[in-house]
Amino acid sequence: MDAPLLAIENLRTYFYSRAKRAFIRSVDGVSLGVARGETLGIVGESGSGKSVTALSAAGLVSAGPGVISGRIDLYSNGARRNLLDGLENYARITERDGRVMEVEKDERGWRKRSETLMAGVRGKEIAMIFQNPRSALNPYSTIGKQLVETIRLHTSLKGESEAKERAIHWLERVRIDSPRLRFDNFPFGMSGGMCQRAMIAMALSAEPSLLIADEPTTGLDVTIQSRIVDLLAQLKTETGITTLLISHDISVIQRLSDRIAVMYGGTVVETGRTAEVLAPEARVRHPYTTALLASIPSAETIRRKSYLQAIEGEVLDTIEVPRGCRFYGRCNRVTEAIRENCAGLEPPLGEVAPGHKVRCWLYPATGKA
Amino acid sequence: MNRTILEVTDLRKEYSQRRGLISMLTGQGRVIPAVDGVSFYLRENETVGLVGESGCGKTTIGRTVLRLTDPSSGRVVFDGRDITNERPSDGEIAIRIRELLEQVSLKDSKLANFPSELSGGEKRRVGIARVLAVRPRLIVADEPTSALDISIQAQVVNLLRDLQKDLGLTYLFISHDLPVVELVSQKVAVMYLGRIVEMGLAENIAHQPRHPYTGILWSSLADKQTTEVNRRVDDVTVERERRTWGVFDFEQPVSGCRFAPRCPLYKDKGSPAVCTDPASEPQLRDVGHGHVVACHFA
Repeated sequence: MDAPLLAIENLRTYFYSRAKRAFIRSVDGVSLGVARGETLGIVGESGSGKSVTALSAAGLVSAGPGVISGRIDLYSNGARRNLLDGLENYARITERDGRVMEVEKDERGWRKRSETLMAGVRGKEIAMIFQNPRSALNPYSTIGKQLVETIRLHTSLKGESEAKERAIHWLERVRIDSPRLRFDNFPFGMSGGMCQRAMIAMALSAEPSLLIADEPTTGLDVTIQSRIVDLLAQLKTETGITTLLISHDISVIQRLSDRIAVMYGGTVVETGRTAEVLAPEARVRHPYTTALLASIPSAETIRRKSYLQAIEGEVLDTIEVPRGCRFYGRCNRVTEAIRENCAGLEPPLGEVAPGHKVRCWLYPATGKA
Repeated sequence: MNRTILEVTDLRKEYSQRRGLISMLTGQGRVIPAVDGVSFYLRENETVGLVGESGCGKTTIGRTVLRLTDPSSGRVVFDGRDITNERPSDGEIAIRIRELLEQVSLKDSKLANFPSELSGGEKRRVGIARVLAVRPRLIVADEPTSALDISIQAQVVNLLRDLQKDLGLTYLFISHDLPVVELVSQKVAVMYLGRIVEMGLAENIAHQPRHPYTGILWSSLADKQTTEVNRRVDDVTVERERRTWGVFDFEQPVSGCRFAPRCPLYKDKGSPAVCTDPASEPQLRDVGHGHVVACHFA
């Protein structure tokens, strides 16, 4: 890949459940790269690990029982830094016969280390927008005040009045009408779509290298959703910002991302150029991606009023990870020829075409990878 | 033609909100008309979809039909009986749990589980089983698929359709998920700020909408789904930036058509006076085949 901005390598983010005496393997060996200027979309159902991947990159996995391994490299200002550097030293795992017996974590040390690593990165190099913008904004402070604060903290504009001008400029950029009036508004007086715009303005005003957008349209009305998607598409062409976009909504990913990663049960099961992976005529596709696309009501399904092709079974819980393919239990394309493999051996993420990788025994290329 | 099982006539529900010291002292609050004169009916074994943005009053209608909320005025007739001022009895509650679980395709072994031990899809199915336990004929399904994963959502939609076929159920299907509504409903009613602005057969609502709002609802869905990867984003945005969306401002009294401030047609037609004339709020009128629209220009 040319000029990566963010490279995630073999990331594992586990959360220890005391009650179950086991790890919830939210992210279980994920490797992904985001090139400068591109948008990588991660799609998956709840529990697939897509959000935790993003949170790990933003250094927000600080919760007591969280354990991270692997590396997340951020390339900026000509330097490379591993955002997870040395973190694993703060957690010790005692295992017996492959089962976790105990986890000891020096939480204060971990948090301190994490803060050191993220200093000057989170908010500045990596900015985030979330689902439910209203709760992400400070309710006691006006939109303008919050923006000015971000700008003075993260950019070279330190003066009050120039920061204010820049803030208004950003409110304009995200198409908030009458930005000078809105500047003095509190979040509660604004609609959900408006809050999301303010949130986006705030994230971008720090002029970050990477924008992480975690479910930016979820929970908004459909009319507002399409406006926010439009806005993100526009800002992408205007600013060329590198984006890691997380969504369960495949249509949002399809519209906004250059490349896509489909996650299931904590792993990436398919990745490639969005146009290629989601092309209607695609011949090589992971059974899960296919099933996911089929469970959305298509124009054809609606016209014929036919049944939806549901994926049987439940989303994999990542405590008891099967030995074979994680999707095996729900897969409807297992053939006799590969059944043994599917049940007993996790398939590798193999390249089936340049830049297109699929984790499935169906595709012979995966055998060689 | 099946017989009518539920008839709602001129239903109104107002909430009053008090803000600030002065309104508290004078006892005057502002009145929010959550549902503002809604009429519709459901025939047995049919599904009517109710769509609209949040705050349009669709949930309030569901709650009023179930008599969880008292209407301010209007009439609700269920199975020929006026239930506006009474609560319908639950009927005989026969406990048929095993049969029910089978109907919603849950395993027997789940009987001893606590809700927290079930997955989202299973919880939703238990919810459906609980509803079925009273052998209802009409089910108000308020956002039955929201917050579920796509694959699980498909299971629940299929289940609801099976149950309708097997048990002859009637659904009032309230949802913001337009494709799902279009899939399961025979008829769809589109609500905007407390009123039905268009109602008709599902395929007509989705593909030949007569009200500009309905058109916008469905086209925003299409915009989001656009498959052309290299589409020129700019053209579209410029075109759509003309319609300024805002939130409805309850402080400003509605005069004329309540959609006019957001209406592209209103702007295209050069702001005709009839749209903002307080004396002529557009009423639902039949444009053929039982399709009704509340727009001066439909």
